[in-house]
Order: sequence, then structure tokens, then C-alpha cells
Amino acid sequence: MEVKEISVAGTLESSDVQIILKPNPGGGLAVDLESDVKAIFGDAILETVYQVCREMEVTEAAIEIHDKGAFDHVIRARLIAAVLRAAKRDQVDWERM
Amino acid sequence: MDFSYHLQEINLNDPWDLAQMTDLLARFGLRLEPDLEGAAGLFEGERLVACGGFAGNVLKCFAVDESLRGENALGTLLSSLIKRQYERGITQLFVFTKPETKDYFRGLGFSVLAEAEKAVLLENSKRGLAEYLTSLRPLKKNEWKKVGAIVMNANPFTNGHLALVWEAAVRCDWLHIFVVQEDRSSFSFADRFRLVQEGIGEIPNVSVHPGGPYVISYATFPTYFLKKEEEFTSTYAEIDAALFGASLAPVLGISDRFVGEEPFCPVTAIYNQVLQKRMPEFGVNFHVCPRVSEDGEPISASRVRALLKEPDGLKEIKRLVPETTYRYLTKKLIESGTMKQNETSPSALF
Amino acid sequence: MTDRNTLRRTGLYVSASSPVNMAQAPFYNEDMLIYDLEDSVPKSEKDAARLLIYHTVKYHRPKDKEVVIRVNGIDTIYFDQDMECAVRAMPDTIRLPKVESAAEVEQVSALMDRLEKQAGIPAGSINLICNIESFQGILNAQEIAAASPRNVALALSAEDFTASMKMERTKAGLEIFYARNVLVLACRAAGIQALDVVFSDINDLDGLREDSRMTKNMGFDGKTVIHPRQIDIVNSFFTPSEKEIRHALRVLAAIEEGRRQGKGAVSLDGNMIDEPIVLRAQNTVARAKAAGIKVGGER
Repeated sequence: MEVKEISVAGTLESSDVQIILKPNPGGGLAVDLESDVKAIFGDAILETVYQVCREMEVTEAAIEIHDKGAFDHVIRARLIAAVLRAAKRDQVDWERM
Repeated sequence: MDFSYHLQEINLNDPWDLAQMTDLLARFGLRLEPDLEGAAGLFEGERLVACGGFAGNVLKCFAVDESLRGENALGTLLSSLIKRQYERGITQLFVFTKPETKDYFRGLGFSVLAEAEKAVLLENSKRGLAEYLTSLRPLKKNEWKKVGAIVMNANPFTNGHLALVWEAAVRCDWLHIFVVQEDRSSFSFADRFRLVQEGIGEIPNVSVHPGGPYVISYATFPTYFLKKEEEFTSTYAEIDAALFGASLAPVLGISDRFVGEEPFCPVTAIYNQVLQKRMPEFGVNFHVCPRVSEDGEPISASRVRALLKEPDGLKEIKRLVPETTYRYLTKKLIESGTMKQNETSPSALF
Repeated sequence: MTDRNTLRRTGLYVSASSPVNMAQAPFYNEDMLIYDLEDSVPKSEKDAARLLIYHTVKYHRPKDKEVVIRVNGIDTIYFDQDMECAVRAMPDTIRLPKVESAAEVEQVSALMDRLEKQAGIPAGSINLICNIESFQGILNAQEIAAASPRNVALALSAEDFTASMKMERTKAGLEIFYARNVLVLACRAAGIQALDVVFSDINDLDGLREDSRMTKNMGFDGKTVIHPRQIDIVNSFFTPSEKEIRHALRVLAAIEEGRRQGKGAVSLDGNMIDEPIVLRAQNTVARAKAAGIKVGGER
């Protein structure tokens, strides 16, 4: 999926994560993670991010993550929402989810 | 976030909403700024318990009721405001606030750019300023020993400005002129910038740059968190000086900063005083150049703007501005009949 | 899997745009947790809310509560996507807002048949709760309640109902008396549960008690709450008394005894104990246990 424009999903409320996606032509995936629990969960969070990008076939994007202690399933949900918004896709393919 | 509160957009056109936000801010000694373009609030039923707003790329006017302390109301508000800003294409966002509250914003992804005694400036990126400074690096040449800088609004560019530019240019190896980038002045940034470029003509060692978001305009500087009017200008100057001195100056190798003397405008006078004190702290020599006069009266942009409103003003103006500015003003007068009356910039050299 | 007998003393709505509320809600004592896609989610967040609900219900659902998803109304542009998301997430129940006719229920039920099949989920495994929010809904309550075997309850929503009736909503609730009555009648006729309106003043706990007493006396099986601090109070009104518990235990003991002796029909105090009485007794014991009461003679 192509990141066509800047998109935001999620909030800065605790237990949530705000994800900002920007197009990154020629730059591959550039992830910037900010989290209070980066030391402990940083790797796990990044793993989830890369996995979702693989599943959604996102190869180029600048991903800015402000994590406020979100669970893994929340990070997934927010990232998928951000990608769909950036790719301007209205319909979700629930079967592939 | 507690189940009792809900987030809602504050309608700035609704007197009831507006009154609630004004009252909430007033309870904390804060003011509602009249230029707000959007606002959001947390409501308990019908009662507003937290608020925040934005104008341009600045987020401001935040207040959170005591009952919400510890609930990250600010996070909820910021998320909503950030989202709305992104939707209108503004992704580089700034916050001015009291130093006591800076950690709340830092915890929500904002980084401090400059700090003064009564104010702190933050932006929503760790790297925004750094990237901007990197883009300026090609503008530094090692063979230049004395590099000067002038920051001007040039609303519009006058002979006074030109004289200052000459004074600085002859004393430096290179001179950078930064034109304050905002569209609150009588003349648009695009026009003001062009007039500066055209006005300086062929002076060989000068370059003109857009101020960018890191040269702060007094017109857009929020003062909602400052108690006394006397503090507005000095606080603005402190922040401006801190940002300039700590970031712009070292990257560009600026050794000297030039301003025009200000005999009349108290705001500019205060600004100059603050810079006089601060610039040396950053290793920048500070120079106040005397104003050029015409007929015994110092030339200033405000004088030019005032003359524009008078029936025969243009004739008088011809002696105060370069040919290029004169032609521009003539064209503008013909096009519009009268000039726009809303200027917020207090003096010519801002 | 939940059914028409599942405990539904309290139902708490949680907005699907608030991960922090969604994370906190399972720790309270509500019997039903309703993840909401409708009124508490702004239009611009419907898409993100769906994804959050899907992932939460699929991967992080509370184990000791009925998990419900409230979708947007059948007339809205969100409905189709909401339904596909909701079915695939596999909650216990889907809650429909603003139901006004049996036809709507039949339509939704058929849609769920198709979606369950597509998703490879056992047919009929997801229940329905219909929110009645208008005068038309009240007038059609009986047929709505009976419209589908998926129905496990009807829930009355007072704010929208009183608006549709041009009434003033009061704490005493006289204006919705008839509507409440009708709803319970319809549910009894269809053999499903009846859920009562919210009490919106979260600071008036005495008022909540009065309202809950009314709810219980009128025959409702439970009530929707809007704030966690209302949960324990409402639950207590649906907690059986000692007398009720003792009677229930006697019923169950009699049945057990009858089974041991190979008897077909059993009686207690001169009355035949038939299926509904057994169910009621089991219900009473379940409610007692759920309320944390030590029920002697545990089976």
C-alpha cells in the first residue's frame, strides 16, 4: 500500500499511541519511536510495527510513534488505521485482517 | 481518562462556548487570545473543565481544571488539536507556555527550543530545529570572519532599512538578512520579502532569507500566560534572543547583530534592550545603529504606512523609500483604493 | 457463549476511541461490557474505532463478562462496515441502536447469517440486543422482541425516547413509566431479558438507588450504567435476598434428590417444580454467587 499523504491515528491519552505517517519517497521505512517504556518494550513495539508494514505491504514511510503505554493490539489497530488513512482507503479487507 | 468527561470542539462563534473558555482561562490568570482559529474542550456534562486552542501553527490557551489533574487531560486535548492541525496541512506545531508547564508538553512529544524566565517555546518534533539548521549550513563559509545578521519585518522596506543594511554590510564579511515570515502585517510576506531583495539591489555581500518558523514574529507571539503587559515584549525578546543566540548564530557563524535605534516605539526599545543584554552572552556583538532621518524626522515603516492613508501621502513617501518600494506602493494604492488597516507589528524594524 | 439467561444486571458502555477506558473497563464489576461505535465515537474516528474494537475483542477481551459491540444504526453509512467488523471480531452479542421494527431485526439477523458463514463462524453464535429509543420502537416492541432467535434482550434508552416523544426527562421517571412497562411486557412475551434506562446524574447515588429500585420492581433484568461508580449499587438491587437464596437452594436440592431417586416429577411444598422454576432457582444462585455471596451446599 502506498502512503500518499500525511496521516494521524490514535491519541496521546495514556494506554494509547499516536502514530503519524508521512510519505518517504526513496527512504524505505524510517521509524521514530518515543515511549516511556522504550527501554523495556522498544524492540517489541518496533517488531509489531515492521510486521504490520509487511502485512500491509508498506515499504516506504516515515513513521513517528508517540507511545503512551499502549498494548500491542492497540499499536496494531492504530498503525493499520494510519496506513489506511494515508493510502486513502475507505474499505477494510476484513478477511485479510 | 475518566468516564465522566467528553471531548468536544469549542465553537468560537458561539458566545456561550466562548464565555466558558474565557472564564476557565481567567480562573488561572490566563487570557483568551482573539486570533484563535480553533479550540477544543473537555466537558463534564455541560461544564467546560479543560481547554486548548490554536492560531496558525501555534497551540495555545491551555487550561485544565483541578479536578482533572493527573488525568492527562492535556494529552487528550493536544491529540485533538494536533489532528485538526494536520488535517489543515499544518504539521510543524509550536507551543508557548509558562516554564512551569513545560514538562507536561515534553511528556507528550514536544521538545524545548528556547527558554526564558517567564516563557518557554516548544515544537512537536525532536528534529525540526536541527533539520532547519542543517539546511542553513551551506550558508556558512569558513573564510568569513565577521558575519552579520539583521532580522526585519520590513513592512514595507524603507530607506531606513536600506541605511541599516549598508551600515552592517560595510562592517562585515557577509551579512544575512532574515525577513520575519508571517502574514499578519499590512503587506504579505511574499511582497515584503521581494521588496527587501529588490531594495538592496547589488550590495555584493548580502543574502536575504525567509525567517522560517524559528524567527519568531511578535505579531503571533502568544501572551495569554503573562500577567502584565510590560512583560509581553521583554518575554518575547528573551525567547527570540535565546533561539537566535543558541541556534541560528552558531550554525551560521554570526558574530554581529544589527538593529536600528528606536527613539519612539517603546516596544522596539524594550526589544533592543533585551538583545543588548543577551547577545554578548552568546558571543554575538550587538550594534544599535542611529536612524536615518528625512526632514528631521526618522524614517520608519510605520510613518510610511500612516502616510499611505493620507490623500497626498504618496508624494511624501517617495522621499522615504527606495524606488522599488515606491513603485510597489503606487501599484497597490491604485489596485485597492486604500490600504488594509490592520497592522499588528508595532514598528518598522520588527 | 452467552444466552437469554446470562446475568445482565449492569451494562457499561465504553467508547471505542478511548483505549484507556477500554483497558480499565474490564476491572469493574459490570456483567456486560459494551464497546461502542455509535454515539461516543466522532464521525472522523469511526474507521479507527472499528479497528480498535476488532483487535481488542479478538485479542484482548475480558473473560468474565458478556462482550458486546454496539454498531451504528442500520440507516447510517457506517452500518455495513460496522457489521462486518463486529461479526468477525466474534463478540458474544451485537447491540443495535434505534430499532423500530421487526423487519429491521430480521434484516440484521439475515445479514449476520451471511457474515458468520463468510467468516467461518458457527451460525447463530452471535446474539442480538435491540435498543428501543423512539415511540415507534415502543409501539412495535412486542414484534421486535420476538423477531429473531438471536435476541437475548431489549434495552430502553430514555434520552432519545423522551426526545422523540417531546417529553421532559425527569429523575422520578413518570413520563417513561408506560414505555418501561411495555418493554418488560414485550420481553416477557418473547422470553428474553429487559434492560432499563441509564440514570444520568452520576453524582446522585441516592437517586440512582431509587431508580434502580423502580427498575427491579418493574421486572427488568438489569440496567445500563454510564459510569463505573454506578455498577456496584445497581448490581446490589439484582442480588437475591437471603430468603430467595434459601428457597432457590431448596428447589435445587429437591431436584437433585428427585434425580437420585429416579423420580420424573418433583414437588416442593406441595407445588410441582417445572423447568422455569428450576431455571429461576439456578439464576438466583448464579446471581448470588456473582454478587460474592457464599452459597451453602455448593454443587
